[in-house]
Amino acid sequence: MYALLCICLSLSALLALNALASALAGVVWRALAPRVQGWDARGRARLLFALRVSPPGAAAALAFALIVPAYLLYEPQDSGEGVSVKLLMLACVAAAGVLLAAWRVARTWLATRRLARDWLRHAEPFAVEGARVPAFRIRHSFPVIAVIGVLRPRLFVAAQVFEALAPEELAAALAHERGHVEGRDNLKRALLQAGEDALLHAPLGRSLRREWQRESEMAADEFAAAAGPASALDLAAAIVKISKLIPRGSRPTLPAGAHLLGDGEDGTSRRVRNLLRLASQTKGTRSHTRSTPAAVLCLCLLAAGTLLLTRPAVLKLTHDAMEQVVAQLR
Amino acid sequence: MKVPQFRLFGFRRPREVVGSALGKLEKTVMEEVWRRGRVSASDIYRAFGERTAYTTWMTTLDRLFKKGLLAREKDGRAYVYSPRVSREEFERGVAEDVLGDLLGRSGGAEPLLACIVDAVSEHDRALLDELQRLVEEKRRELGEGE
Repeated sequence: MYALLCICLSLSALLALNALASALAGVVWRALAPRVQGWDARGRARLLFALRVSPPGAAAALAFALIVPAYLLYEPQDSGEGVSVKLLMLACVAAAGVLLAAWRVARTWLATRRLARDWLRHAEPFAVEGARVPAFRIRHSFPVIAVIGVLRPRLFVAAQVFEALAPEELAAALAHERGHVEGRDNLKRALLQAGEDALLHAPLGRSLRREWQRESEMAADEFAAAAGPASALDLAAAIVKISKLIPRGSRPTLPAGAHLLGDGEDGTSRRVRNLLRLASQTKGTRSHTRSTPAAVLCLCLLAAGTLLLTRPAVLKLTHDAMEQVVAQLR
Repeated sequence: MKVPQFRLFGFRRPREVVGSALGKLEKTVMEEVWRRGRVSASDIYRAFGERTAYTTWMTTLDRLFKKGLLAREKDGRAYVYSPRVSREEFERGVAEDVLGDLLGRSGGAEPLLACIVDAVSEHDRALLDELQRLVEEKRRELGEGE
């Protein structure tokens, strides 16, 4: 019973802290959004990612680095305290979230591997200047230019895209994909999805993921456009041409999940207009990426965690609070 | 023994979901079209009396046609509507959508891939020519500036 109570308390704390922190992160973003409008998309995407992954990360850190030690240090083994039904239910919901997240990560990994293997079967390699990932040409009814995979990303380009785009437009489109690789966007997407699964799709902080999707796409556009105004225009032209190739009412045969960029009312239009705006700017006047907030946030969390763990008074306080919670849940 | 009916907050029974896929008037019209096979707006107007305006029935039929639930053909100056899906197909379709959405959200696995353009909304599609013109214009503008 001693161990079961510890597990139930940790899981319940994980769920409660994650839900609270996710709701708080949504509020923080609403307050910050108008102030970060002047940032470049990469900075906004980083901030959004930090805001969305911090809640589950902080909740896990607090639950397992604070609740568990406090319980082990201050809870007598022979207290004879049992697990109430309410606490057990909370723990079960939390466990379901953790299992769902783990299950989805495993299935997503398998689906990605299967898709890459399927495409590789009929793919021809081609060389891309400056590319750090292998590139392949495939035959596909959808105008695919996509990076697949997290650990070993591969670039796939449909033959029809080669035919439709001018060489400089193709280079700009490939630079856009390189932006996704540099930003590790596939890995981030998997983490964001897992965070959502852990909360069993409760609508807490979900808008942050949607915002991140949009900003990460804009960030990849800005990465490609950083080469100069001509590159920004080439990418804008490539996006328009590729969009025209998409058969009406269709989506990729493989559900591309997170990057449904044209899904919004003004997806393509917003991106092209942003690229035109970038083309008008000279290199010197462009805003710079601000990665400081995300780094500062992570450092603050780490410092706070270390501070908490090194003070026995905090562990004692945590244990007292746990006792109160257990009594309330009886 | 009567089976107790209960519902969790925020969740609906499958029958309710199917029922709520259409509005009240749409449901009335679909029931009548499934019963008769072929109807015009005036048939519906006559069948349900004058409580609802003729134009409202016309709009409802048009909306169902646009949703792909009815087919229509010209008969003189009026349209005659017939069902494109049977009641069973419709109920099965809604149930599949609901299940698919549920499974898609909670357990569906999507490959991790970043695509330059995944889908284009109708709004964007209508603007593509205009966007292309803007790109060309900007190209000319920058070319002249150099």
